[in-house]
Amino acid sequence: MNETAVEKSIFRTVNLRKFYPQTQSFALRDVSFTVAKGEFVGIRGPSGSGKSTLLYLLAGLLAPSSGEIYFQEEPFELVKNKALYRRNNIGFVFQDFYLYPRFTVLENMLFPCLHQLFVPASTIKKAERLLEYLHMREKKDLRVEVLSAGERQRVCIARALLYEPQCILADEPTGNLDSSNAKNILCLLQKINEEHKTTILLVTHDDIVSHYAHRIVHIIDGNLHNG
Amino acid sequence: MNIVYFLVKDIFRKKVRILLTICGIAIGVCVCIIMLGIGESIKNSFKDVYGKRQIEIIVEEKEQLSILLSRVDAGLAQGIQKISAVQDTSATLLYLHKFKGAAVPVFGWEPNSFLFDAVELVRGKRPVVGKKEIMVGEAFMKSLQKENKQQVEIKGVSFNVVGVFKSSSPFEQFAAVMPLLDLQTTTHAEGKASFINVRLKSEYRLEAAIESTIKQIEGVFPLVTAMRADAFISEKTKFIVMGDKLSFLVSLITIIAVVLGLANTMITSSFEKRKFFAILLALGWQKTEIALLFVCESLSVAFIGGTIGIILGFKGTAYIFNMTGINAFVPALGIVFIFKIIGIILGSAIFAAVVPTWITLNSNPVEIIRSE
Repeated sequence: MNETAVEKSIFRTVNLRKFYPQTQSFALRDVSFTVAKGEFVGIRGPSGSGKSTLLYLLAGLLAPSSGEIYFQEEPFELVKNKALYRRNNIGFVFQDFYLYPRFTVLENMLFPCLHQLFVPASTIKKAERLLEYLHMREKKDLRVEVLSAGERQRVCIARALLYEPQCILADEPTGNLDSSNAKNILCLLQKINEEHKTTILLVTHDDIVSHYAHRIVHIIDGNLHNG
Repeated sequence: MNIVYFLVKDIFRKKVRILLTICGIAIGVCVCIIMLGIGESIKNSFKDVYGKRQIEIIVEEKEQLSILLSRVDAGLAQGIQKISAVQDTSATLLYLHKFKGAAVPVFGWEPNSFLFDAVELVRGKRPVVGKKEIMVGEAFMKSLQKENKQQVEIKGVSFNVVGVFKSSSPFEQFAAVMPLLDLQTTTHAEGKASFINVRLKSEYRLEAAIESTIKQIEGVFPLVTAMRADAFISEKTKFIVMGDKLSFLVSLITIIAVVLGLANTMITSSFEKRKFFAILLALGWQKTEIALLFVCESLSVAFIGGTIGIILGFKGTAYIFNMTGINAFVPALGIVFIFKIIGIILGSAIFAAVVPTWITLNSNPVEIIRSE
């Protein structure tokens, strides 16, 4: 890896290992890879290969068994407050959306800000702008249960973008969508990546991602293979 | 959107469950107020009668179990007054008058007694000896007005109500006062008093001096017992203290039931929302913020239930007192008592939030997100 690539990296892992004592198995084995700022990386692999584990390790939701993670070349172990790190740098998109029923689209978007007790008007305006950007503004007052799967995933993406993260970690975002909606979501993520320079790490076992991502890495049995 | 809006909307997502929990809390708080309130009110009433007047010693008939049966010579007051530590004395004759099935204390006080200092005449004048006059507490007056009465009939003799007074003691609010001589004559207790109130000079209001004065009184007047006012209150309100302990026990059991009910609701709620909390953690919430959300949810439920319970409790106490004719005690459920109840409610809410908070904070968010 050349020095420029290291300087511009957002994530770098060195010999990353994750061992699950419950199953007595390695989810990741000596994974070393770098993600440059503004890159759209697709992580492919079969179920149980360790793709999601990698995302959760990068999000600081799991601790590695060994190896190192660097965020913007800062050792990850120096980041004491992982929650704050996620709040300021990471946006999460999940396969199952995880929207809170009985609440509206806009309210669901604003949940991450509730820790402030009062959501400022400026944040509400920002959320509305984001919904407009995702062509969801007219649905902002609808309860999330009435939305289609594609629309729900758009709300998830809007929720992830609210804090203007440097990186979006998307865990099988197209897994519950039909092919047409899957394409729309991937197009949307590509647009966000191009227009906002947001780094995207997208875990999937879908072939289609290769048309949208800058590069694809494969994880098989916890081992990472480039290209 | 703000946290209150979220909490209220979230709490009422499961309407039936939350309404049942709120009902449980409200009933629990209501029971506590009624149980603790009655004892507290009566005890405070007695304390107030003596405390406000700085009465240190009460002198009554020796070996007499009930103050109602105690009879001492009213003239003893002058004799006790001669003791160097004594500042003031006042003989009191107590008679219980039956009014609408309730017992109204009627006090016979000497015309210039210092006992008058702790009551405020809000209407009319003090009763004058020999004119068949009486003054009544505000609460008793209200009851008389309901019956359209301006007289109090004691042992067949009618006394005109010439004054209405206000006392800081709810016990006296539902009482009547008349000249000692008139009450003695009417109740055929000429020259007698139920007890003598003794006030000491300020320099003698110390533990040792009070004890020494008690010994002096009992030495000079062998047919009487002198007691410290606080001991007198404890002695004469033994039944209240016992009732109080029982009330406390019942209240404690009720509160435990309320806390368990609330904790159960909170635990159920936490299991339903564990995915939501895991997502919040993934989205950058800190564990302390999640814990705070739990406590706020628990506090909100307890606040709604507690408020309803406080209102029902006070209304219930008032109703019970009204029913028994001793509605004068209700004002004793003062601000301190309300704060105590609020403290119990808030404490219960925080306690009920501890278990679900602990469960959530010790769960692995990744496992929760991945679980079906």
